[in-house]
Amino acid sequence: MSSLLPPDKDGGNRLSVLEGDTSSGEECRTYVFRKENHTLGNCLRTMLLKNPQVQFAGYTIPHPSEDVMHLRIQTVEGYPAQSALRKAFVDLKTHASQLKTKFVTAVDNFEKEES
Amino acid sequence: MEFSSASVNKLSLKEFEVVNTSSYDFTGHAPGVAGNKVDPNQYKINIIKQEDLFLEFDLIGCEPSIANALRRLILSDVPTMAIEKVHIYQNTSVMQDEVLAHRLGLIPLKVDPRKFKYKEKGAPDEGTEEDTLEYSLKVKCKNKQGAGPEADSYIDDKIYTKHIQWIPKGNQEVDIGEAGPVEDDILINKLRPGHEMAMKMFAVKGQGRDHAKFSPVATVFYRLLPTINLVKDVYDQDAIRLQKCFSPGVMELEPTKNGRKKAVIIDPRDDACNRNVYRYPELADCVELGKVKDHFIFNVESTGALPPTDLVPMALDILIEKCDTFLKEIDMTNT
Repeated sequence: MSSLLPPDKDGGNRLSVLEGDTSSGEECRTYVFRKENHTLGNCLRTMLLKNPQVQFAGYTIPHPSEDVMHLRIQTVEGYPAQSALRKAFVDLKTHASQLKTKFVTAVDNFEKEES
Repeated sequence: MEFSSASVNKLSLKEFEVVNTSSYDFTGHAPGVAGNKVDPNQYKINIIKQEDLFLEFDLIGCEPSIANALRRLILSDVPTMAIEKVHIYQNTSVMQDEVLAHRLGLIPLKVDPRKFKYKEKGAPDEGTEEDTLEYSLKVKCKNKQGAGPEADSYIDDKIYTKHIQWIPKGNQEVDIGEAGPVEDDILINKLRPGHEMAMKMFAVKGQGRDHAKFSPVATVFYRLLPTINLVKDVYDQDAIRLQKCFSPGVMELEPTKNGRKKAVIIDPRDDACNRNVYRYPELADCVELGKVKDHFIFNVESTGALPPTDLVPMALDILIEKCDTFLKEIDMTNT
């Protein structure tokens, strides 16, 4: 089964850091996502806000004509923003997998009840 | 900001405002299981109705951003096959070439897109058996032999999707089986005697975010579960009026011991939440209307390429794949 997502034709990274942020330490970062929108942005923001070590999390789409999303993370001292981002992705993946298993079991149960 | 006395979980629908919508999404507040563990029983999914191409299911315990992401993914990221390039050899009909090609693109095809790869940019139109499906449409309208100029004296004057023929490439006949349009009776064009259409169509895999023809659903939407709370007892004429304020089936009149009729809530699920009660000031303070903030009633209607019970897991797979892509990039920059 091939990948459900289309291959990235432009090459390069989908994720990068906004310039000028690295000087204020590891705890503040603005991440720039190419080809992402509210679908991923709002989910990541929710996952980040559940993390008690995150002090600020917000996302924005600077202009609707460009397919770019910015995600700003500020964390407590000693906890790098990148770890918060990584944890948010891992948590989102866990939630999505749980939803998928719950849905597939629910469909199986429904079909068994029908027959 | 007014907080509902009932519970943190419920929105309150007042006459001129909706209250308690905030879901506490600011930092420092972590509802539910905080910290590192994800609660395995957080979500509950109940399938309510599943018929053909329709699916109605309940998603309980979910954050609004994830429910919305699921909706957006099904709409714009789950791929489908649709006709993209049309080579028109002959078109003497009244419909212009580009209008005809546009209509052909919108025809839903009954193919599983997971068996195909995305076509590369700049690849030839004909493509390979792994990324393209080829169709042919060849019709000519004629007069029926020995008939007068009545309406039904033409042969092939209405062109339907059943006139489209699939031309399998390579091993496609064995691997895929059937690859025609979902419905046979979609009207494409109307001809008169002498008109002819001859064209070859090439279908590729695409996503809804590129063009709406690639969206696998007619639509997918969700709403929140309504709640109705009767604060005061309502009888007789007032009860009949109260019952009419809600959608049918939500409220019924039950006879009491004194011979009066009392209004009773049966099932608030079907309520359209039109807040009609507030038009009658004497009934307005008898009920409290609200919605449960984490109970989403999803409705998925597929166009026919994939069954709706396949679309939801595919959308979640896409979300997981996106997470994996970014996790890989983060880990690569670290090492």
